[in-house]
Amino acid sequence: MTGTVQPPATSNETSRAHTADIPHPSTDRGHAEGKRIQTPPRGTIKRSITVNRPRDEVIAAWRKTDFPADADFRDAPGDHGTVITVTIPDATPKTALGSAFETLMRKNPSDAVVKALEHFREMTEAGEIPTTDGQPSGKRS
Amino acid sequence: MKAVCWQGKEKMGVETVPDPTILNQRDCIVRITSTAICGSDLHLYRGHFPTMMKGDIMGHEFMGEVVEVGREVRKTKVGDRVVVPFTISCGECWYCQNGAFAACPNTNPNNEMVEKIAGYTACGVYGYSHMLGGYAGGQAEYARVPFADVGPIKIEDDGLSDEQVLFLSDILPTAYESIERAGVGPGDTVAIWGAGPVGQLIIRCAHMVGADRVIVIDRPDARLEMARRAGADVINFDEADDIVEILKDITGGRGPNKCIDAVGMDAHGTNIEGKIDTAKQAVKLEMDNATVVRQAIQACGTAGTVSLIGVYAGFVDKFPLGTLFTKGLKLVSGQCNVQKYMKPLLDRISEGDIHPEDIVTNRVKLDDAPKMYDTFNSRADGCVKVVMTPS
Repeated sequence: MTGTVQPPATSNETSRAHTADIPHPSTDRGHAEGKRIQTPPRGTIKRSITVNRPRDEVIAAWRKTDFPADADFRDAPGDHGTVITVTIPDATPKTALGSAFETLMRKNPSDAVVKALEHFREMTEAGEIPTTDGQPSGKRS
Repeated sequence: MKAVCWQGKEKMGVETVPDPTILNQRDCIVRITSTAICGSDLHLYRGHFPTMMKGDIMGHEFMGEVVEVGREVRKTKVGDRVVVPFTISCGECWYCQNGAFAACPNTNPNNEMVEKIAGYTACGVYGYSHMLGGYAGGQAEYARVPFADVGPIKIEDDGLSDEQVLFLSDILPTAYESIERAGVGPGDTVAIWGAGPVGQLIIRCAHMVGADRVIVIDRPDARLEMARRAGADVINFDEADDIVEILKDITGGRGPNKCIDAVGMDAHGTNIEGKIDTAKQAVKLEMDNATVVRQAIQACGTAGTVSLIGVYAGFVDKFPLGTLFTKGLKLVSGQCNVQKYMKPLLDRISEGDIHPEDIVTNRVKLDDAPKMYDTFNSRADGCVKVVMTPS
């Protein structure tokens, strides 16, 4: 007895071969060339942070601070707000710093820059700097 | 007030401490009516999670009544009955506004500690180490809750008991997000490592979204039996020589296509690799025990997804990266974005689609916490989930 076996359907009929949906971006970057990223000069600290607010609002808030360094502001991609970049000498004289910043600087200049930028973002976005100072705890020893 | 305090490895105490106060103007104070011990609290209890200090107040699953609000709190009112999510999130950053509440960079006073390990920040968490903010936890009579308008969800329906809604604080959203990240749905075979509280709720969530089959792997009989009653097929580790081969065999040679690690860093591997991990953990040569994540990657069917929801804190050895790549697996992970899921899951509880209270096995007073940590840790007396009331 011989039966008839149906040949398998072709892959195009049964699988998802050749079906990927590749999006057409709405923004036109064309063939714009990339750029070589400049690394910070030796002896300097460069740190960036993104704040989820429009650039004019961020600049206005920044001007109210005593952050002891010039800052660069640019729009963050993807509607993420504003990127702030600061570059400071690694051995900035302490007398040139704001008091809170100066305290932090004595520990680690790089950490201090990041911490100060984080505090700026916290104040600008959330309206407060998170703290646990003054909260209860049990015996520490 | 009374509070459960971490006093060192495997040592908890109920101490009298000052009442919490408003520290920032977006805070509120909650009088706690129910609080739970989480499986992840055991990582702290066992001393494996870094940056704990003696005297830290434990607990990140709690609910109660709002008794005080800061000047900048607009929505939450004194007298509200609320469940508090364990993740502390500001509601204003890009992450919060895009549902990634656990990635909020504005709530952890000790961000630098996380940055040292992960390179980036993580949100604050109640009662869960100084690395995650050093916030006092909710295994206490009162707790300070930052960002009161963002986190707590008001429970309007007095017909819902504390036990029905308490787990919205963590383990129910955590369970749900683990399957959502894995894309669990109709036709899926889901394997879950760990039949603890989160594992138990993952079973229920997987069924709720239509998974075809759920398989649970663990050891304690009481937990396996609870999982079986909830509709899962169960495998006892101690009866399995090779869990990967067994899973392959019972799934027609394909392997489960969705594998979920609900164990995390404190896995108890009994094979050679697991014992080496345990020894390395003990002498701080390795932070996390990777037994489960290795098995999940080995067992997962080709082109499947491995979802890590158990907590990991640092580095692991012998991670099977080549297997992950060769099989084309997707690996998803992360702390739960609790605030995103509280309302929809509350709705499902109200509609009777899920009954998280079914997993509660031990109901005690706060004073019993030290004993219950020991019981929970040793899985004694069929303990799966402990709920405590402060008074």
